[in-house]
Amino acid sequence: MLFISATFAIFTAAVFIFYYIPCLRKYQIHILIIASLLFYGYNNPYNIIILIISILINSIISYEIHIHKRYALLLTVAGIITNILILSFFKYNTFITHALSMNASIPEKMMHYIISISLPLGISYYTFQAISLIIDSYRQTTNMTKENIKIGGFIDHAKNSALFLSFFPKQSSGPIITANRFFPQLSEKFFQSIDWRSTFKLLIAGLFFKLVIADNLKEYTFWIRYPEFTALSSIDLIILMHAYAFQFFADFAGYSLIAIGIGHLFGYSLPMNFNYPYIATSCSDFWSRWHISLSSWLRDYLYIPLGGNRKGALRTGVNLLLVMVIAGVWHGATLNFLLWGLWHGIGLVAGTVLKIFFGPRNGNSMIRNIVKIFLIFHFVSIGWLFFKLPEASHVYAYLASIANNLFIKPNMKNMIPIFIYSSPVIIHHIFYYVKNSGKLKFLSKYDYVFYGLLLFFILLNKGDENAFIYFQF
Amino acid sequence: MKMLSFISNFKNNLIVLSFFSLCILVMAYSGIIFITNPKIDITQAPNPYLENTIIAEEYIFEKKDAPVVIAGSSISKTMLNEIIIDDINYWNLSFTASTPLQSLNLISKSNSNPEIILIEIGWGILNIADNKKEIDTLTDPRLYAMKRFLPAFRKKYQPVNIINSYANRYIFKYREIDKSQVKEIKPEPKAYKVGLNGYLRLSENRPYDQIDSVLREMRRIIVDLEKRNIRVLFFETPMDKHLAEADAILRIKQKALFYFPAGKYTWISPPSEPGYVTTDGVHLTFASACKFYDYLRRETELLAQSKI
Repeated sequence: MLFISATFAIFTAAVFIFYYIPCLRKYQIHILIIASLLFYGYNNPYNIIILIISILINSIISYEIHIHKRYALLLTVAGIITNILILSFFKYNTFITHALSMNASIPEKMMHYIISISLPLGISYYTFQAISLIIDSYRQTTNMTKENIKIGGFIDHAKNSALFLSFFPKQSSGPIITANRFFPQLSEKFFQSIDWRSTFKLLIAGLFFKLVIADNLKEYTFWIRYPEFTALSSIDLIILMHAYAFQFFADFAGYSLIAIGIGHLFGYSLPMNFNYPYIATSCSDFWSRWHISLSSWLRDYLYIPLGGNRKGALRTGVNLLLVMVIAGVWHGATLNFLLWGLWHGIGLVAGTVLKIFFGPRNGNSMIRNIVKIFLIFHFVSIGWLFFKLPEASHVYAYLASIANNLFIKPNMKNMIPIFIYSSPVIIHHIFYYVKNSGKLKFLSKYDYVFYGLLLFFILLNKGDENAFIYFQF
Repeated sequence: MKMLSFISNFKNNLIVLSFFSLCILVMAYSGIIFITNPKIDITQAPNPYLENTIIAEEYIFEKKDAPVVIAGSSISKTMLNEIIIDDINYWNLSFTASTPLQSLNLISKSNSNPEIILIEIGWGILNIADNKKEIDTLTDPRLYAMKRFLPAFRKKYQPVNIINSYANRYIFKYREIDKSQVKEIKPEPKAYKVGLNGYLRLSENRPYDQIDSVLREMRRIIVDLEKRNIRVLFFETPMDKHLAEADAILRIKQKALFYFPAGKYTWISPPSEPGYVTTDGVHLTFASACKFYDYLRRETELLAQSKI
């Protein structure tokens, strides 16, 4: 069920009505859990079983961590390993089966069966959230204490954990919320408390980014496919690479804004996922602005426990590379995702090395910042080719074609629409500076004209609806 | 009352005012479209998929009475260019990445009654069979009524498409070309090789199930169309000799003749004169497309006067 489909709008409206009926208020969590399971099983009911198993395992383990403090560490390790095994089984089944079949004789029938098991929707997301539930329970950073968990009992804890892991607005592609941020929000919600203004802004901006920008740019970036792109001119290839960077941002940021907006409708605040990522002046700056919920998770639950930057330069570099490779492989079990992680890992290490040798720069030179933004944007855009193209050799062929196809005539027909559809993303990023300067504050009085204009484009200029890019992860 | 009072609690009524702004913008835009009636070159749509929808909408709303309709894929769409577009007797209902089935479905569901449908038989049969969702949207009575009375909602009048169309005309100096001055161009070698190899690979995959299912479905629709006194003619476009001998195309021809036997249906024979040039093995260049269109028109007119 796509966020941008009429089915989803009707579904959300129905859940919303039930959720705020006063006599059903004490069942709000139940309503959301049932709705989330329905949403989750809409395309493939068997997914519900896997989600319920994950909920049960993580509820039991996190409950026991609170109750039996003596075994907390053991339970935490067991919980993390179980979650990783479940994720690995579904996400890397093809890769693991092929690897095993090379060394051991696996019956062909079994091999086909394992390979044919489809990836349950959002498993990468809820597994990371489940791990945060286990670790936060161990660290006692949630609002749960042994006493209040005992009062509520296991059923109450399981119910809360079920909502935490299954809450439908974030189910398919995040934002990843951690237990210590979600559990304190569990309380009765009131219709009067809905912040309609910000919800409306989030939903409209999200729909605009997805339907008008991403879905239209997709028709051009379609040509980033092998071997077709080898016949395109260098200029076309560079423009398409930029267009894909803008499309990717619009698609994922659009999805995230819609998810956060729907979360608001039900009284839950989900973390922001993007903060003007394409104005980043370094790789570490980029990762503090792009897919923030994932990068924060990796920082809090992986990078810092590994020692972060506290154990010397060499160890910092190794930690950065390891975390980024894991981030890459988290997206999928292909060489391309691994290389994408490595690409960003190298970028982060290079940034750290430059900082060690040249020290932090004082002052804020505009030209220096523009050059940095330019370089980082292109570094990131090249990285997206690993996402778009299925094989590393295709990425190489793409870059080689940019170098070799200088004399092929560019297709001018595509340039104007690509520029028009990319410009809102560029303006959005420029707005960051204008917003901070406060020069356009007077315009906020007329924000309804701006949102009216976004609605106008959604209505009259939307592209052909497509699934979100991040749904595949 | 509680439910109603929340409306007045919006800070500055952002939601209400935004929708109000939307209504004003849509009305103003519709008014501008109605008054200025901007000339949009549908052959210059920014991308092939938008072009597909524009071609379909243009047929439904403007060209439903065209006596001859071409049903095909992007291969026939090469004949939809700035010269042919003004031919009032013909409408080229060919869609990129689709089979002729998409065109036939649209003719069937839109209740139009052309005298003749020219159906392309070739590599296009191997494209995506048909997009039912798109046809349902195009023929949905409510959407149809809205687009009929508010043309601003047609894809042709998308703001970006209008800007693009004017930019093509005034910035890139696109002008209407005199047909007699069209010169043949040499195809880009890299693009030709990539295209040719792509089709040969497609042939190696032996997509026989697709061929059968598309042709079977085409026959079902054609039988219905014939009941409405619509005559169908089949044609093939010239192609690279390697592709003309490929396994898939031979299979397509063989199966097409099985479903639409030459004794019962009229097949326009491919042009005998040489000199047709393609950009990738199957898609004709601008000049060749014009030349082939002339040939197709001539043959159609001859056959239209004869009886099978």
